[in-house]
Amino acid sequence: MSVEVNERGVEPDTPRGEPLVKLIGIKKYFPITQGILIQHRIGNVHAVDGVDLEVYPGETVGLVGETGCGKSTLARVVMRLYDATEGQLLFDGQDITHTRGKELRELRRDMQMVFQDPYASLNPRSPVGAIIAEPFRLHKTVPKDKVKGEVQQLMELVGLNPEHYNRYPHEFSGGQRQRIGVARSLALRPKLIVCDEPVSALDVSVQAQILNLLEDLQNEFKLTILFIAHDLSVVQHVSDRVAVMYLGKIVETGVGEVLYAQPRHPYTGALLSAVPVPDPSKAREKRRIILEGDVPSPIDPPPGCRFHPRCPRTQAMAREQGLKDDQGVARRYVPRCYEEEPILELQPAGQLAACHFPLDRPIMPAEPQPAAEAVVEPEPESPA
Amino acid sequence: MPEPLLEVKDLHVHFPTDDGLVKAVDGISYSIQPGETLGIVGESGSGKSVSSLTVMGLVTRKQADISGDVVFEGQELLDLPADEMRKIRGAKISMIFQDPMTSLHPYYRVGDQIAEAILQHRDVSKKEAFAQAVEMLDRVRIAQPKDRARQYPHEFSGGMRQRAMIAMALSLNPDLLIADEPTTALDVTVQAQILELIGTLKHEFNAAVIIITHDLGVVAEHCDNIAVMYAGKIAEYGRTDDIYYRPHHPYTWGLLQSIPRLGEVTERLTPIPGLPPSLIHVPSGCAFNPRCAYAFDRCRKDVPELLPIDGHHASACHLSLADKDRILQEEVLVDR
Repeated sequence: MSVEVNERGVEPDTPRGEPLVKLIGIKKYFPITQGILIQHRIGNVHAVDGVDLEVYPGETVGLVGETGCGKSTLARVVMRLYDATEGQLLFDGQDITHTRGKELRELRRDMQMVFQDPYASLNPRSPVGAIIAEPFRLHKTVPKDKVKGEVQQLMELVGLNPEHYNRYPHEFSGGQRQRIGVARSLALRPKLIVCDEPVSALDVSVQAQILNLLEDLQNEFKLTILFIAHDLSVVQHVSDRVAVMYLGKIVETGVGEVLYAQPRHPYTGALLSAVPVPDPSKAREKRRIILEGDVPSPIDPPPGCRFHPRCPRTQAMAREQGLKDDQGVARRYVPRCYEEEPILELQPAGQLAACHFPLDRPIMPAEPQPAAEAVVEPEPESPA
Repeated sequence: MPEPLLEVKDLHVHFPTDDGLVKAVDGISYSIQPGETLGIVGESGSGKSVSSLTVMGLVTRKQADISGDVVFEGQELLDLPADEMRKIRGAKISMIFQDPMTSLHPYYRVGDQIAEAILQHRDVSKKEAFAQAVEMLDRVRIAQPKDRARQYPHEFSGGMRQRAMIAMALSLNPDLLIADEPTTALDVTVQAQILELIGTLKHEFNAAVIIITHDLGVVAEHCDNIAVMYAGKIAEYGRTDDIYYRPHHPYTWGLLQSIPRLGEVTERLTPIPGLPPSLIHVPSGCAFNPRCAYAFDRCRKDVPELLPIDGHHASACHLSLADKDRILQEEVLVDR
């Protein structure tokens, strides 16, 4: 693995032109209400809680995180399917945070989405040709008599047989359906495609086909992709830069290989450690960090660093330093972690991380230098 | 070699349907020793779940044409009457299912559900069974097990529900635990917790475990032996290191190449072309031949047998060893 840092994605100030998408302090809260006649707001779900992110033309930015970290909400805010509670959203240099009506509809030509579930995102009663033609019908970019030809061209582009124009979604396999979803998203030649878990419902052998297809299309149409997934290895494969989210915030962002080789945020480290490695000897060597418990509720996120209640690092430090509170009871966390909220700061390897006490050791074993191929493997360990 | 705990011999499970005969499992054989962890890997529709459901006696002759042998601790399970099977299921062989949301009953308290399993098999009072359920919840590392046992499944998170399922499965100290995609519905960090838990409990209870999954990472980290299934058959079987470092079946090669690997810069993935076959119209000869780059005439005619390569390692492929060596060398299919 090359750790040539910052070829493409130096943080934060390599000149790469203007970002296509720029999020400034984006927040999205969902109100929780109580009462039957008079609805009282009793709290908020802090789904996205202050995210700054820039996506440059032609690049792929990956968003990873666990269920409930706000990655899908963020995608929907970018797509303007949700209105941001706070913050500013720029697309192509233009403030689109509050764009409405006709303008918004025109804007949607430039941004399209591919959804997770290829079974639920296609109308079962509509033939495939009509599904892919839907954007043309809405936006009238293509004269009616040319729609069919255009659709068949799209089908060919994504590797579907154009003769299957009149078939229904149920006649296609999961991978083929995802191709239909991709074709539909490409119909208007958008600048940005937001992919929300596009391959997580697919079998491994088919998953690679779709990932390659996205890559080809990106090269052909100079697409910018925001790629959301929970699978770190998939995200790292497709992305130029990766942003790790936890409870509505980005905790670390940088070039995928750098995050892998030198993760700084303990949460990134824990995620890396949790991904099962399809390589038995590497799996035996890697550091195991098992996080305790589940992600806390985003209704009332923990104070200070949101990760501190699950953070193995602050717990280990508090134990090692023998920290005690006023009553002499051992502290579980280093006070700074729950008193002060860390901000994203530039790290030596080039990524940004929001942590007071970043990791200083890698999680994964160092990559062996590419030596001669025939390596004699040690005999497998017998189970204890 | 000690007596295997479970031996599956030439198992066929065929479902007659209106569209034709679905050959979900089409002649598989494997055995598992006490304390061993076996991984069964395959894509959807490869027959990996059906084969284990048959071992559990959850697919019976009423629903399917079953032939072959399933011998557990020297006893043939396929011919066992239902009430005898019920004594084994849960007590000696138990199972964890993929979806912890649907496999717990929403109307009953979690503790009562675990206690029910104990009451079925042991001669204890309700109170004792409940106390045992609480103890089991504690052993699967659920905090405040006493209070938790009185809660309903909807009050549990996904990871905790899966823990409760494991508690239920292990409450009778089974000899064999079958985990069917135990972590597919969970986040990676929770997945790591659950797999770690299964690993430690396996030692505590000295049970053998079968992990069924589509995730090549999960099996690499947690299994001693691996069976790769394709279209109802075992394509390759061997020790974990054999499968990852000396794979002998083109399907295994394809699988290993098609997954993105963390920390490795692969410009392009190499997918397996085409789609897994329908189990009604399985291609003649080797079921993988239409997707295999190395298929030759014989592959389209004869069904390859699962033949040993060296001792433990076996693969079902017509390619000769010399050909495979040449392919592996020339194309550098595996990275080590």
